[in-house]
Amino acid sequence: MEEGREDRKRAGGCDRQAIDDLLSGTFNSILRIEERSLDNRLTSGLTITEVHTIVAVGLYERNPMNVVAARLSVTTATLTTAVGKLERKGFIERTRAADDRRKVLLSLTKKGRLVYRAHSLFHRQMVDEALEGLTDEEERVFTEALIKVKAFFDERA
Amino acid sequence: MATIDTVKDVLAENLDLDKDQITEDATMEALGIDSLDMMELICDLEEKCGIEFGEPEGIETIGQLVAHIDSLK
Repeated sequence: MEEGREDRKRAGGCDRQAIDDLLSGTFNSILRIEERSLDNRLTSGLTITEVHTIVAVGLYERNPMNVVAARLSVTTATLTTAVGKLERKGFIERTRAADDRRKVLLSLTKKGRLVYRAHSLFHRQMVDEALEGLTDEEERVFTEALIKVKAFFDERA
Repeated sequence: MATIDTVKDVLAENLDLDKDQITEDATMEALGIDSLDMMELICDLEEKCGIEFGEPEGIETIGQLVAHIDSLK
């Protein structure tokens, strides 16, 4: 089994250096495309981090700070700063939980929901367009392989 | 107010469309409503109709939009 794997590493068509370049290149391209996608009337003036903070709050959810912080893998202190800015810009609202006045809940304003939707639209369109050139079978194999590769990265992240 | 009339009001106000053009059969494309206009339309309709629109795909005509909103009321 190990020998087979070693053979594949060396074999043509499974060039591991090329795969490394493909992964890094794809990751960087997605970041750049996402950055450019903010240049529209709904998200203009926001950074990618701010958009992802808005998305982490949830479209119709009312979430405590720690839940949103966990979704973003940041501390609540970092989130508090980001939320303050987004609240001042009118994208996020802070309210007190009815059952525990000490607990702050985050939710999106109408302006925030617009950003959330624009971001979802960008991702849907990007995936649709990126996979346009694949046959159904290629898409199936690609998805299965990507699930396995992503599981590795998620475990290490 | 009927949902179609609310949709007509919002579209007339946001995009300056002629209300007579906005029929159930009219497609978003034919009315010149692009994907970002659609996002704004949805958020305005959520507020005016008191609904949570969700993120449905495949809404291409005014009739489909109205039917989706009515299904949420």
